[in-house]
Amino acid sequence: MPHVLLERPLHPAGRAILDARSGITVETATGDAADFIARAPKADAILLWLTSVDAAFLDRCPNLKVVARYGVGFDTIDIPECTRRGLPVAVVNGANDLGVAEHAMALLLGIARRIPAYDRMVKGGEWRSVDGPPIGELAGRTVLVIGYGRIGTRVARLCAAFGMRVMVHDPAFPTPRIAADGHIPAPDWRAALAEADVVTLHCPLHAGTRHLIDADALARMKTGVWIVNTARGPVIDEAALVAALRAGKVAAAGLDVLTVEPPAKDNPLFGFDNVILTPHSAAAAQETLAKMAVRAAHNILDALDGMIDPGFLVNPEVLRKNA
Amino acid sequence: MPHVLCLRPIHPDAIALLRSRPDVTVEVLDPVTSEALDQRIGAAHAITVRLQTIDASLIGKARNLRIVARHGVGYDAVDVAALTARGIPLTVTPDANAVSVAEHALMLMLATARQTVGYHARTRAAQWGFDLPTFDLAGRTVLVIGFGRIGGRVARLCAAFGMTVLVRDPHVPRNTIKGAGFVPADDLDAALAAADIVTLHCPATAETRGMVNEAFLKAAKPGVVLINTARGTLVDEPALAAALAAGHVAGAGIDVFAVEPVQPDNVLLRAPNVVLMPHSAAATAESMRRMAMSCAESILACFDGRLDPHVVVNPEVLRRNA
Repeated sequence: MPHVLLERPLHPAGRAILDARSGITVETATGDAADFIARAPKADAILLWLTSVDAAFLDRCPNLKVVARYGVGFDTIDIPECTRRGLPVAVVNGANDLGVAEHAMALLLGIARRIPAYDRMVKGGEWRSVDGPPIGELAGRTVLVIGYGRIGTRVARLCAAFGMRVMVHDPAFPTPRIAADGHIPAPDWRAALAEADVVTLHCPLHAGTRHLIDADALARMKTGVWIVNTARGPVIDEAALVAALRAGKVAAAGLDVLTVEPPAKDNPLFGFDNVILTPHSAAAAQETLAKMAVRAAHNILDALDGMIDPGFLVNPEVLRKNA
Repeated sequence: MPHVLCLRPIHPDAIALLRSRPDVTVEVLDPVTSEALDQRIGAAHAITVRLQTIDASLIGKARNLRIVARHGVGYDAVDVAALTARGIPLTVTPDANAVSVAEHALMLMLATARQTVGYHARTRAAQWGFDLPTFDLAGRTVLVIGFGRIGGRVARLCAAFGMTVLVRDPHVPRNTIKGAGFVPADDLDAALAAADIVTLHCPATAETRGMVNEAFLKAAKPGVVLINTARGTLVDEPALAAALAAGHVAGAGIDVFAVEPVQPDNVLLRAPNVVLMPHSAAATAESMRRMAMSCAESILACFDGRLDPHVVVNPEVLRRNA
């Protein structure tokens, strides 16, 4: 009987789908990595939150038929090793894009209006309506959206609704389609940096995007640029960002993701009044958590049934190989 | 030669516009002391007004005054009747702040939905976790009260986020609201029962003052979020604070207070789940520039005899002057 191991308790909306299925057993680990790894060898399917999967892990799990993630990132999983073994890696595409796009807009508006700083001042009895930290509008500003997938497309549309001039960079997306969507294609993203008032990141983390925003990229940006990151922390070279904030090159940043999560207490980004930080909560809205759980449960069952939609796989080539 | 007196500086681009006219002289008072004002008001043909009170006594001393240009849209601190009696137009800057205030309203909605302030504080304290509940705007129902320049923009932005948009404005024909793609809310109680978010965009008048009172809040859906970027006097603040404390109102984003600057004993300062701003919705750099440019343009248009009546609070003086 196939055995499903969950790294931690699954949202009831997804759990109900697994429980309704006869002929499988479901086990929930505590969320502690060591506990999960100890239980993994018996599993036919695993659902991962934060635990990393490498060759050594896979060697200990001979029954494994699917690696599923509660999320859309896959930087914690050795994808080539899974592919070599014919193991499908499933993510919850489509479940979190709306929530993450809204979060990017929340961070963008939040830095535009300096909410934490003003909220703290008002609650502390300091009323500075016209002489406080400078605030600005989205309308009329130019935004460069890097990554035009499910999330980036939504963010581009929302930015356009706010009257922003929207430039889009995505090497995997045809530029005529970006233009047809009403945006300005930016195939040379480094050149586009010089035009952007706002840069927002919506690309996955892989070797090609690690430290995409490094000291050189920051130097090419306009002085006073705003940066939003709801993608993955290491897409930005955090030390270079800190230096650019100190130098006043970057006027504000809204970050939902950090290089090290949870962050150390002395992360230098905590010291800036013009940086808004959230705890990788872009996909944590109640609606999103439920949708992700439903998708993850279906991915596991569909993979066990040998009928998973390749659209949810990071390595769809394993389906052809297995056939 | 007409003389413009700015009571506190306005955006340098607007000063430059005024100075670009060879037939106009410009003077900036900063700070605006009563001695300086007494001394200089007599020479002014035009004044730009930020927060200064313009009362009948001051108007009496302004013997050359031809126009008062308010930097903003409110004019509670200006004695309009005294200006009208002298045939002096009072202008405001109606086109300058709508974009800025509408964006601010959306910012407060998203900040409430995402618990941005709370999560920011926790993250900076290295507390990492999802203990604060958050929600998506998409799929929610918003009730926009007031469908003017700002409310109209807010309604469109909410629609862009995938929200169902109800609009209430007794002064706008329901077909205008329907034609714009929104749902007219004829029955306030029914709309309140349906709305997840209520956002205020109407002026404070005898009819609207204290509108958000205990009965209004009771009619609202449990878990409702209130956004106020309009005027503090629209809301019965103790009633809102009580509804927040009881959890009936899940959150509030407030830019305006009944008394400003907000007083230390204001009950909202200690209410749970509130994001509070210092009436900064229209204080963006862009909006400040537009307000200043609008003031300068109105003053020059007045000197040239081509003042746009749509920016004049007391347009009856234009007919009389004609």
